[in-house]
Amino acid sequence: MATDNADVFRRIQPHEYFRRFIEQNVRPDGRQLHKFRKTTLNVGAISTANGSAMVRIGGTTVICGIKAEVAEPKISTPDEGFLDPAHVQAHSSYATQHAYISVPNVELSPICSPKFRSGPPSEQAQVASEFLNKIIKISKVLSLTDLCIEPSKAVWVLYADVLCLSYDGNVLDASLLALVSALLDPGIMSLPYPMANRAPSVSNSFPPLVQLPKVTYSEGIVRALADEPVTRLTLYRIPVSTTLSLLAKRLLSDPSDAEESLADEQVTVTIDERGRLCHIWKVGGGSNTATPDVLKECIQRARARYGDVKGMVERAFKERRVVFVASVGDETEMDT
Amino acid sequence: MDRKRIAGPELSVPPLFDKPQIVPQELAGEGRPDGRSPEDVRPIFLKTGLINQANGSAYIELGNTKLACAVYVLFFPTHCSSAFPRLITPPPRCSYGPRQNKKQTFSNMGLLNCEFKFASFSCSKRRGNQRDSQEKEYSQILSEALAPAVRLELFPKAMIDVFVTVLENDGTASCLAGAITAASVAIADAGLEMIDQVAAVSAVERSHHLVFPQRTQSFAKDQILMDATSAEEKLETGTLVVSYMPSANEVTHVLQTGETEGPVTVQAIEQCIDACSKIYTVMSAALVESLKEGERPRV
Repeated sequence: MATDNADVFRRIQPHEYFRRFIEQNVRPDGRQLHKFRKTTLNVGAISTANGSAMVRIGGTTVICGIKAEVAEPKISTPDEGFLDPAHVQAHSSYATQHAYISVPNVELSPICSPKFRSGPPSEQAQVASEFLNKIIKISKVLSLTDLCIEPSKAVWVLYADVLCLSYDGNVLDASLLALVSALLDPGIMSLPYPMANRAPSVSNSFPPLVQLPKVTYSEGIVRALADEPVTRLTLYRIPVSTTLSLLAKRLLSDPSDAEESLADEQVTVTIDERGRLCHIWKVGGGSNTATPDVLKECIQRARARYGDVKGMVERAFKERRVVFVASVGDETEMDT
Repeated sequence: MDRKRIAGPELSVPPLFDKPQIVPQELAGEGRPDGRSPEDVRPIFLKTGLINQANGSAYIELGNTKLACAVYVLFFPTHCSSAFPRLITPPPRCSYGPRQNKKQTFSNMGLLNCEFKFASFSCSKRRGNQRDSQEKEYSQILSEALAPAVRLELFPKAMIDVFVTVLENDGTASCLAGAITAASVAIADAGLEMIDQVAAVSAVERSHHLVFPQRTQSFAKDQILMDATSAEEKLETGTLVVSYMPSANEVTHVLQTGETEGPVTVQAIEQCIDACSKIYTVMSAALVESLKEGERPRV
């Protein structure tokens, strides 16, 4: 009955249980400390969405579906859409004429884990939504000019709903990857794209990828032209996040649910395709281990992770479009 | 106003399409756009255990209709546990598990609490994040259709939670039928004792006068489309969802809406029962498959 004893030990002394594994440089699920769980990406599975992607990281499954609709900009800011005032100031050159709205929301419904109840979103879901919102808006992943239909009359709204179907930790990484992949997805309106063979017009931008029906605006009505080629959305950066947990004074990549709930501190590093940092988020403290060297190690692991994710995204979009055109490895900007 | 989600604009609409996306003539013709005969159901993919945090789960695809179902159950008092070997060891961090039914007064029977949700991107028109009246109605139907098959008398005072999320809706009636089928498999996957599996199938009834105005004779066969897609549903005059326990040969739930002739509905129910028996083989195969994989680690 050795397994039963281990099980009892894990439940009564979870910290000690994990510590003994980590001392041997291995985790209870058999992974080494720096290893990530098996990650898979599937794009374009949902035909009712304008773009969709499903990401699995180990036992965590999230689906992002994007619905594009048309709305009027706010009356007080007719040309500026729904961005935060601070943000509009920071990027006024983009925001003066046109605007788009993107509404990312993360849904941690009771289907994914016994931790969550039905009803309004939990705090964790709200935090995850805000995390995505910040990265998309402040890191300038999308250009504000691209999704304006008619200045001060009509703009696109992208409703990006990230739905967690199975929760086993590291939901931020999965959500961001699903959101970005869904934005890249050609979706149902896919038409022959000339983009694969064309060099990008702006050296540091990506070819336009996301489909939106081509629309015309007249007399207050936005009409979609079903036969016309679709308008495509340009992603200027492709951010990918990497979450690490500090547990028993060691750094664990891609924590599972059990590891997340025991961890002293957690770091989420988001970088783009050129290795530039988009966002760093560290929570927790008191374990006296998160030194600057440890944080540098986090960034290095995030870079290594980016290479793996990039390969996966390329495979998922294979023969559909070129995702990564800018050369990766402009490392000088962020040399540690 | 919802302050717990990132707010979009107060009002937004999908753009108007200049041309209708589906040509009605194609649908009003004799065949079906996907080449099926009227009594054929779409191919089904069914798999259990994809949601590893749940006690039981199932994922089903009916053509393009996709949905996921998870079941969270209580843990049994020791005198019951020998009957449910897969439930003896509860998940270690399951705070949810033994769920007391707080809403109702004392009940000798367990309560089957079903929650049905369309994902906001699952339908052609965007859905809200909060459950609307249709989703509440479907939740109710789900529990009505499943309750006769589950031995609820074994869990007095307790609740079983069944969550269904529709990921893609290609035929609203088929979503409901798929939800019943998937939930039944998920309950069995959780190891709960059942009298029989519940298979469900949907059918669309088209009015003879609406579809074939030029014909004088009634062709009941053409008026019933099994497992209709959302394109076919646009021409419906009535829908039918039948839930059926094939081994017990019992119908657990029938829901007919809209306007059809009596004989057409009677024939449609018979066709649905036949189709349910076919779906039953898929459900059994999925459950046998899940047992072959052996004892899954339930986190």
